[in-house]
Amino acid sequence: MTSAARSEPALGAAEAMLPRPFRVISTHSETQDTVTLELEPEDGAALSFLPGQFTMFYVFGIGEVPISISGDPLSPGTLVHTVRSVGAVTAAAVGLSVGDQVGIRGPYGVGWPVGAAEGKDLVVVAGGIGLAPLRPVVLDVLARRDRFGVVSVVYGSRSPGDLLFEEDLHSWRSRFDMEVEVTVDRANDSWLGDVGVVTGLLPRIAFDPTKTVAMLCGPEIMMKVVASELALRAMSPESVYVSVERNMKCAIGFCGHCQFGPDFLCRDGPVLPYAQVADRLRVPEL
Amino acid sequence: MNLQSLRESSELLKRLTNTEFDLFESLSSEAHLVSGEILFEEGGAADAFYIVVKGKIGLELTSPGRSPMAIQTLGPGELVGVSWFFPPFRWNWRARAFEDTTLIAFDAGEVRRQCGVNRDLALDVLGVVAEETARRLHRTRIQLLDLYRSS
Amino acid sequence: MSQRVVHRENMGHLFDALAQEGYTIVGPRVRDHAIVYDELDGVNDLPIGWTDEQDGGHYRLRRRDDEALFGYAVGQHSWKKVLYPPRTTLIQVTKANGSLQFAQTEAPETRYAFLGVRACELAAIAIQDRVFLGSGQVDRTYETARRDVFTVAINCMVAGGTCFCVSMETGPRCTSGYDLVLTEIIDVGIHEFVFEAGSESGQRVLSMLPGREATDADATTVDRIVEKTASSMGRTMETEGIKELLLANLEHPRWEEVAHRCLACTNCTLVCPTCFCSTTEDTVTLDGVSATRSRRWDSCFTMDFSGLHGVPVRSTTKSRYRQWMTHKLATWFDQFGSSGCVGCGRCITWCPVGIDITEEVAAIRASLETVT
Repeated sequence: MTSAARSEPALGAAEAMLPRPFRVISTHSETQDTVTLELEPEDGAALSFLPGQFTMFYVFGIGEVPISISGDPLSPGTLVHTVRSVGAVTAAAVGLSVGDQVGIRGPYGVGWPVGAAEGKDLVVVAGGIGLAPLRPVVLDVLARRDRFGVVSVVYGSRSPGDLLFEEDLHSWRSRFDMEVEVTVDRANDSWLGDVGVVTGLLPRIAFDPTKTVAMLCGPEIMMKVVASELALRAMSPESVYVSVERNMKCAIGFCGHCQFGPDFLCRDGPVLPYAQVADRLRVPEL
Repeated sequence: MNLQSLRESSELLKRLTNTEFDLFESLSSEAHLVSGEILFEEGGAADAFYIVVKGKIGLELTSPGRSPMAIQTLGPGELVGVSWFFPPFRWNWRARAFEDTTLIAFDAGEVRRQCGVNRDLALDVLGVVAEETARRLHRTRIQLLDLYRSS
Repeated sequence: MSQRVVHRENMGHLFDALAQEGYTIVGPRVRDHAIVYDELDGVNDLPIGWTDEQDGGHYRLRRRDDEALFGYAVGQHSWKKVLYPPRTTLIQVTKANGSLQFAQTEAPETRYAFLGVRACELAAIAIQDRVFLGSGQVDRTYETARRDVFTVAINCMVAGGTCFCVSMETGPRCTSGYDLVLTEIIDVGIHEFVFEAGSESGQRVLSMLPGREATDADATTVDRIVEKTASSMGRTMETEGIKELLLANLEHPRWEEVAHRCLACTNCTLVCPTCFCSTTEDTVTLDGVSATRSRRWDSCFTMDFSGLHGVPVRSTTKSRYRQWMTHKLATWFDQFGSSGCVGCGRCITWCPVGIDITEEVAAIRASLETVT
């Protein structure tokens, strides 16, 4: 056990770290580095989740990473993940084929306060891959549209080729009961949509700042400037929610990697009220 | 077209005193562009400036051998162009309508002349133009950060 | 709970009693010029006649001028190496015909008796109990190891050169969390141990030890020993308002200053009895058929601890030192309702450059007091 001569690892009881096997049933290439995977549980037990939650996604022999669930919470039988290739595990994930199996743990995390937005206006602002964890919010809201006031989705992407969920965007834009504004940082030669940062689109959307919930997801700089812009529109930081991202290894509050100030993002987040984290987001390398 | 109705959505018009607003109104006219139509060319004399009423104006940079690249679009209520206020009063970009667009055009030369003789007017207009320039600079810097790229 | 005084010659009976009760005894022994925690077979395995000399970045064993069994403070090991082992296999994965099968490993049921647990260490174990058992999710590996531990605590007769348990209000007297607590009394012509039971199991073991009834005089001697230890602490830390002090000064220049000295070697996190950060590791067999997921101790001082898409959030030593210290002394309160520091001094002793957490706190405090 503790003898220095013995170096083999101890054995641990670890049911909370035990993944469930899921099989890939479809893959869809969103952009040149992002793929949406649809998966089904081998044991048939649907993974019910709340918008904003994530799973720990395990690829055999490579490792496990947190990935937001990007599917419809009303159809939990199919687990949907939109994965961007940024490291070893995600590179393997975007290369998966139909029939491949992975390990899934979860769902984990505090999700978006969709319930708190009922009876109010809703502003969803997404940047880049940040639209993935917000997509379940939009689907959830549209399934019971009458419970919400004015619904606006503002989405900024790097370029027209990097837009996610194009089919959804088109279908949302064609509705009369929601406002969708899309912009890119850099255009191509055929793009006739907006060009510029997402904050430029905010003046276009109408909402009652005293009765609105805003949900922001994207790079931290983007979330900060959008939150500032919303503050100028008289929105209280208590009604603005952001999704903060950090390294995660266990997702169950033990490994310590996801700490952001006092919060364990796997358990106290990743969705947090901006009022609670605004100061922390201003401290470099916190 | 009634300029008053644009006052709420335009930073520039919002900041003018009533007298100044009346002056601007007297120097204004309505302009219509169909999708794809050029508003002004890069390098052209900035004799007019515009506020978008409806539609979308894209600011583009052209360079030989490359398709024009839009670096910013402007929508309802937004001021098209700040270069009309600063020497050499020439446009740095080409502006093109990305959709059927309605704009209010203002006589830039006359506004400049009026600012030359009326300090208060000059200060008000400069204030708005400077703020708008700062806002654009801030946004452009964020665009430059290329936040959404893969690391 | 009853007390008993056991003579030095009869201390072997403690080992016999614990063995009889089915415990594997883990306690202090000398190895590699330090006092480490390892399995013990008998009294003679203890560091008889040894003491330690500790200071910032300094640890030496010295011979005492007597044959005390427990005449030293703490070494680089803490009980977390048993309760929360440095490397633990968690999951086995097999890949067959495109299917993945996941199986968890089972933690072995070993009954440990910890011999020689200091008050600061009791506090550290209680803190890790809150981390692994009391925060919602339960860590089964820790729970299994922790369940049947028999604790023989010790009231320190010697304060270490870097100790500050008095400042952290965790010692030197053991007040709870033990089955037995003993105080060693050694003087000319006297060498005995005052035992007190702290639980029913402790009571049972105590009844198996030959000894005499403890008297008021014995109690007074114990008080005297504890008092002497308490008054000879190697360090102090002013803990008043420490959480607010640190969290309001996240950009204090002192962080930059300590970063110039800190090597980010992670020694402090390895020896700290409450540090609990870990990481997961994946290994695959060469034929690609089976894989293992294990848990390994990790440290917030490493460059890739905070890696996000391959880029660390905390890339500077300054930010990592700040993370460690503000977690240990400040945000730990928000997370677990107490300080994360028990004042054992290990981080000071085992830091190769002698960075002293008490000095860092004092420096930040002092700099703010002069500015008024």
